[in-house]
Order: sequence, then C-alpha cells, then structure tokens
Amino acid sequence: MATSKAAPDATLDAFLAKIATATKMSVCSGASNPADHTAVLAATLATVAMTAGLGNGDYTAADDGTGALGRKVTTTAKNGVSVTATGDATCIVLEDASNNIIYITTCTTQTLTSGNTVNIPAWKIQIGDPT
Amino acid sequence: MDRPVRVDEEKKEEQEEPITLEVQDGFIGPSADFNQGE
Repeated sequence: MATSKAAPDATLDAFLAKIATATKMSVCSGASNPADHTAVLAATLATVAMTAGLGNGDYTAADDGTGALGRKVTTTAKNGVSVTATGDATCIVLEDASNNIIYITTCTTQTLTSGNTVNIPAWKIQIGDPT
Repeated sequence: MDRPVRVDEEKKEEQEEPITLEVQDGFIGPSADFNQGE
C-alpha cells in the first residue's frame, strides 16, 4: 500500500476553529475588501452577533458532503437582521472580539435599505485535504 | 340626523419583506497547479 499525503481532521479543524473565533458578522458595501475594522465600520450595512466556538456556537464543523474534500465550517443562518445603513451589499465580514478581520466572503450585490431587515443564510468555508 | 363619521387616519406602515442575501461559500485548498511549480 502506497503512502499518501494526509491531514487528520484535527489539523484541518484547527484552521476552522480560527474562523469560529469570530463574534460578529457584518454585511458590507464597497467595491473592494475592507482593509481593517475602521473600514468595516464605514462599510457596514448590517451586523449580527455570532456565538464563537467550533461546534458549540454559530459554527458547525463537518466533513465535506462528498467525503473527499476535507472539512468545512458552516455558519448559522441569521434572519431578520436590522439594516442600519442604506447601500449595496457586496461582502460579508467576520470579525473577532478584538475587531480583527477573520474572513471575508462575497455575496450577490443587493441593495439594502436602512430600517428594513436582511436574512443572511448559512454559508460555509471549506478546507481541502492535501493532494 | 346624521351621525358623525370617524375617519381612521392611522396609516399602517408597510414593512418590506426581508431581503435574503446570496452568500458565496469559500474553498481553501490546493490549487490545481500547486504541484506543478518549481
């Protein structure tokens, strides 16, 4: 039997655990990624608190659905989040309690209006097995 | 005798349905050409 590249789940989950340190998820506007917390604040259209912790908060870890693509962390859907500024949502930013940006993902551009609410569906970050 | 007619002038503000975002998943893994480097 030949050897192969491998990474135990615990190794991949260490990365996912870092993602799960984020305590807030912000819907932001802008044509480029916010560089820091100040930029996140300036671009924020809506923010919701996240409970940190891989597997015991708003972050669920699991094998990839195919069983062949490593591990994934899935965020809990957040519905009815208050929109606090009007603008075009372009990205979602996760930040930890120290306001460090942990991860940024994109969303289909949609116009949000202050005073309304927005639903942020569950989304995932996947890390592949070594190949 | 005419009865006074009460006109309810309260306006109900219609709340828009929440917008549901389409969020893209992220994938972190070896790129296709990872092993084709130097």
